[in-house]
Amino acid sequence: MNIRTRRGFLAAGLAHTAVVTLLLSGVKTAGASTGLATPEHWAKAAGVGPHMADLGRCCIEWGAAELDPRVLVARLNGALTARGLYPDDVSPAALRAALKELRRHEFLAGEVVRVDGWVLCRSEARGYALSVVAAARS
Amino acid sequence: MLIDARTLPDGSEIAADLCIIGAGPAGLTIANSLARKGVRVALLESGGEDYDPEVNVLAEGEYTGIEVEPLDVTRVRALGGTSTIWNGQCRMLDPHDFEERDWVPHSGWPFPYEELAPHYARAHAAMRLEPVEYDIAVWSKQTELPYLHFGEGMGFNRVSLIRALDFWSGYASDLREAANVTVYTYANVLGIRTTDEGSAVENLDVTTLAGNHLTARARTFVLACGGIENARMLLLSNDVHTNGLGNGHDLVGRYFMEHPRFTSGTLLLSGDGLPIRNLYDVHYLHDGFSVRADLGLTAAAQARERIGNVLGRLRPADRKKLSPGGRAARNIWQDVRRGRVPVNFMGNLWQAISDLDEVAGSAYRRLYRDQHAFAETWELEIYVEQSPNPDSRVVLADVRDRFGQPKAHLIWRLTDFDRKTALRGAELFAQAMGAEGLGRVRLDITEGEVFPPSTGWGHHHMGTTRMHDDPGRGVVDGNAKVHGVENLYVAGSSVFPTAGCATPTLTIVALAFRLADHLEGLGKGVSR
Repeated sequence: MNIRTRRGFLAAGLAHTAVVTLLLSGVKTAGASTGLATPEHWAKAAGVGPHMADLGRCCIEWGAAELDPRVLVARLNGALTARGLYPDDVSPAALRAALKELRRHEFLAGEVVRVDGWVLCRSEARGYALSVVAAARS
Repeated sequence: MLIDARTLPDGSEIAADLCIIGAGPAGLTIANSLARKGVRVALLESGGEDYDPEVNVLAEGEYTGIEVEPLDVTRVRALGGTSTIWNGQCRMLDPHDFEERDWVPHSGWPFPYEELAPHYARAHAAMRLEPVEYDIAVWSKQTELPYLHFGEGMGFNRVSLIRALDFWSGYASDLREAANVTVYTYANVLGIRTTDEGSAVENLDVTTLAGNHLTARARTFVLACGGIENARMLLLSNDVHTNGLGNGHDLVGRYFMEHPRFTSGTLLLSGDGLPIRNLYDVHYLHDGFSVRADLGLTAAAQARERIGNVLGRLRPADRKKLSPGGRAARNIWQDVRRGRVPVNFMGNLWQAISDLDEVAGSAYRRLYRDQHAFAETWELEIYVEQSPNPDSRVVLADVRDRFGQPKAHLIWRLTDFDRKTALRGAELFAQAMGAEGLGRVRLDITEGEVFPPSTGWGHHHMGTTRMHDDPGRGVVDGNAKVHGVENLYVAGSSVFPTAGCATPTLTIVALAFRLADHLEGLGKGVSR
C-alpha cells in the first residue's frame, strides 16, 4: 500500500472529495458496464493517482463483507440510530453534525480500525470503502 | 564546610551524627534541610566541585539486554551529581501512580499522593519552580501560545516546569556556612560495614584516588548515590550478609525501571494545524525558568485499558519531508477546486463521513501560505511507564574498577505488559485525537514490533531498592529505612516502587524532604 506517508494520506483525503465530484458529475468508471470495478479502474477514471484506491482498498480489506453500498450505508445509518444520533432531517448540515458526533463516539469507544497504519473510526473507514464501491457502480 | 578528603591523613576518622553518601539532589536536599538543626552532618561525595574524568570513570558499568548509553555518560560523580548535566524538566507523579493497580504488577506505594503533596510544595520552592502552575490554559493565556484542546475524553495536556538547577550551586553557600555540615569531596565509599550480626551500620570504608583510607562513623547513614549505585553499594557491602546488605529477600538491584521512549507514529492535524511556536516545545519564560506541555491519558482510560501510565510528546515532522507531500497535495487540490461539489444526500454523506478532506485541504493551504508558521504533521513520541519487573536488574559485574570493586552490570528488560502499555497508549492517543476532531494518527508500531531499535531512555534509573512495608516485597520500608538494618536509609529514585511517566527529580527531592523530616524527628543527634 502507498498510504505510508503524509503525501499519500493527504492525497487520499483530497481524492475523497474528488470522487464525490466525479461520481455525481456522471463520470462512468471503466468497469461500470461489467459490474464492480476494481479500485484501480476507479483510480484510473478519476485520474487522481493510486492513493485513494489504496486507502479504499485497505478499507475494503478490513470490511470485505460490506462490499454492497447498500449494506455500507445501512451500517452507517444503523450506527447513527443505535446511538440516538440520527437527525430529524437529513439536511447536509444536520447529517454532518450527526456524523461528526458519531465519529467522536466511535473513537472514544475504541470502535476503530487500523488501515495501513492510520487509526480510523469504523464509520469513516466504511465511508472510504463506500466511496470506492459506489464509484465503481455509478 | 568543604574538605577535600585527599588532604586528610591516612587513617583519619570522620565523625558525625548523620552521614550521607552522595551529594546529588537527594543527598544535598537532606543535608541542607538539616543544616543549622543541631545535627552534625557529614556529606561524602566521590567527585569534586567540577566534573573530573578521572573520577567519573568510576561510574562505568556494563549492560546486557536493551542497548543503553554508557553508564558513565548518564551519571556524574561531582557535587550536584547528575543535576550538573540535566535539562531540568519537572513534573509530579500522578495521584494514581501511588495506588495499587491490580493490573500493574508489583504496583502501589506505602503511602498515597497526599502524603507527599506538602513535600512536593517544598521541592518546587527549593528548585525555584515557581509559579507552581500546571494548568495549560493559564500558561497559554500568559504566553499567548496555542495548544490542542481536549474535551472530557481520554486525553489531556500535561505541563512540565523546567529549571536546570545545579543543586550544588543552589545549596553551596548555605552548606559552606552551616557549622554543623561538612562536605567531603573525593571521598569514595567502598563499603558499608555493619555490626557482627549485620543489624546496624557501624561505619563506612572510605578511600580516595590519592590512596588515603578513611573511616566514617555516625549514628545514622543515608545512601543517596543514584538508582544504580545505591543497589551496587548494598551488594558490595557483603562482609556479613553475603548476598549484600538489606538483601535477605534477594530484592536489591531488582525491579530496575526506566522510561523507554520512541516515535510511535505521525499525527496529521486537521484545521489550520498547529503553529510551530506552541506550548509543546520548551518555552523560555524568565531567569532560566521554562515551561512545556505534553499529552497524557486519563487515569480512567489507563484503568479501563489495564495499562500503565504513558506520555505523548509532539515534535514537528522533518520539514524536508513536508515539501514533496505538499506538492502532491497542491496538484490534486487544484483539480478538486475546479469541480462542483453537489448538494445531495450521498454527496454530503461522503463529505461528512470524514474530516480528512478538511485535513488535507487545510494542510495544503497552510503549508504554502505560511510554511514557517504552521505544521500539520507531527511526530508522536511515546514515553512509557515501565512496570516493575524483578528480572530487570542491577547486579555486580565481573570486571572491576580502579579500587578493585566489581562494577555495576545493568540488565534492562521490558515485559509484555510494557509492550501493551506502549501499543495501547499510542492507539489511545490516536483515538483521543480523532474523538476531538484534532486529526488522525498513523502508527508505525505493531503488536510484534512495539519498541523499535531506536528506542531510547530517559536516563531515569529507578526501583532497585524499592519501597514496601513488607520486607518480602521491598528493600526499604515506608520511611525509606532498609529492612533489617536499624540505622540505614536510602534516598533517591531507587526507592520508587513504580515509575509513572513523570521525570523523577521532583519526586526525588520531595522524598528527600520527607526523609529529612523523619530523621529530624528521630531526635537530636539522629539517634537509632
